[in-house]
Amino acid sequence: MTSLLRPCVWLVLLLAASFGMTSLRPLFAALFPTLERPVYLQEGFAALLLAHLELVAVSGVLAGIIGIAIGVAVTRPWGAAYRGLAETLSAAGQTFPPVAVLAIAVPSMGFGPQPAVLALLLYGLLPVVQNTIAGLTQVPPAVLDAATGLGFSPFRRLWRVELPLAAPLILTGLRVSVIITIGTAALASTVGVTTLGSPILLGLSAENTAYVLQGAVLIGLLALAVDAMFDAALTLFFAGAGRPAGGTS
Amino acid sequence: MIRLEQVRRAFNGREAVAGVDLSVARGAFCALIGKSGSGKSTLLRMINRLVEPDSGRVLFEDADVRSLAPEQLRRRIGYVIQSVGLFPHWSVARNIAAVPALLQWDRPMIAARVRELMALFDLDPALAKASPASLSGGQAQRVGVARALAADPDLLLMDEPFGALDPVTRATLQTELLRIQRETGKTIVFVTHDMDEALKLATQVVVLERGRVVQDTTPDAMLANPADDLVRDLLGREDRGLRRLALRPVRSALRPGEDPSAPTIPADSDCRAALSRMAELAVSTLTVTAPDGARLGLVHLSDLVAG
Repeated sequence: MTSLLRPCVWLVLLLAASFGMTSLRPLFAALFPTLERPVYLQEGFAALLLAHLELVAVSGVLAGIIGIAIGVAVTRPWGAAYRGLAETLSAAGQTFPPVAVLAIAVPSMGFGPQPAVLALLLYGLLPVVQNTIAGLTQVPPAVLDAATGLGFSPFRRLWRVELPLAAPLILTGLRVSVIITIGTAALASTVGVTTLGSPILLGLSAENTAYVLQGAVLIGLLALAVDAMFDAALTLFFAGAGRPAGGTS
Repeated sequence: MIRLEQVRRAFNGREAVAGVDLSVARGAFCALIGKSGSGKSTLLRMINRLVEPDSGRVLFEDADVRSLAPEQLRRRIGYVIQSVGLFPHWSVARNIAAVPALLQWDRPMIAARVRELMALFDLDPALAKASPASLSGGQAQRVGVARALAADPDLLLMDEPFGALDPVTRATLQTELLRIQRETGKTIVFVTHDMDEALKLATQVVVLERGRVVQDTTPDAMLANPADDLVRDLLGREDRGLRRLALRPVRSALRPGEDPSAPTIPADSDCRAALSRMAELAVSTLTVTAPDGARLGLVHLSDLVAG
């Protein structure tokens, strides 16, 4: 039960903070006495949170699907030649700053969510690709030999044997990817997408530190809540099933 | 049941199998024996198309295996490997049920078959839900062989199945396998580098060296006439005579008679055990007894040595 407690605590804190931020006006007024508007009111914080989550979900699901597909493809006999390329490209995707991706993508794709999703997707791909490859390559060769020798088709072997055995590592990759996307998604507000980064950007340009703090606290809470949920899911799913990490005896 | 015709296979320019002809009759227990790199595993893996020959033909029940879809072929052939390769995320029962599930048997039939196999391999029914990681080496390989036999294939391929087990467990599993083979009449092709194992189990021993067949005959004929020095080395130069005695049941040397002073030996022993017992007790006559204690007759030292 303790594994479920942590995500619940963070979730309650997150919801309380997003719905209750405006009622903390006296607190922010006291903290920042020089500010005329100590609480961000352009959009409700709950709406910002929802928009932020939507952007993260779209990019995260895409990074997951594409990342797992790439990881699977380059661990098949026909795709093995591209493994180095895939690892290099996904690493490059992460070293390339998302701000630069936005700057390059906006002229061709226009303002709005598309360039933001593209930038976040590229940024979040690496951990998924790397962990999918790591998870699939640590499946013991004897298990693969037995599966093939008993008459599993390549697809069935992948679906029934390789992916389930790689699942803990793949989920860990997804978790890292989603957590860094939650933080990075704030940048999407620079190309006109409403996110929890909107108060931060406005706060930076209007020298309103309270706005920056409000956006940052919510992003931090969201990251912690989602991380705790992944943790709980991994614990429940794998420890509960009594699944060993690897080889047979 | 199986016929290989002039099969060859090279890996990176080195010929692992260099023109092999081999026939294995239905119901035979064929041991492929040789040193590491002699091509014995490659040969075995050609039968279920895990390795494709560069040239030559592999026939399974008179059909060229290349004319059969690999997955369909493999579901008709049991496959056991040294490292077992149980699916670690599945229970013991689900592992055993792997091939029947592939063949889409219905659930009650699969459950009945799993129970039957667990009983056949002397596995505690409580282990059905256990994870493979919790099994001992001997239990894991019992499950491995049970999984290979689950869909009742006519042919069983085994690649050094007992090589990783301790001698006592290995001997137990060898005896079980022999019993099951006798009961079910399966054809078995078995790779090993252990001549004692080959002689104990096989009806046909095939010695391989550098991808070629050196000798292909019955254990007794091989012991009587080894083809060359390699075979002599594999058979053991000093105890070849003893190994030959081990192939003969003590019943075959039985002569009528009664000798109240002679120590006893069970009728299912082999002649080597009889000789050993004579040496141990410093006698030259033993009384052969049935499992119920009945005296069947005598065995004399001279009968053992005369062959």
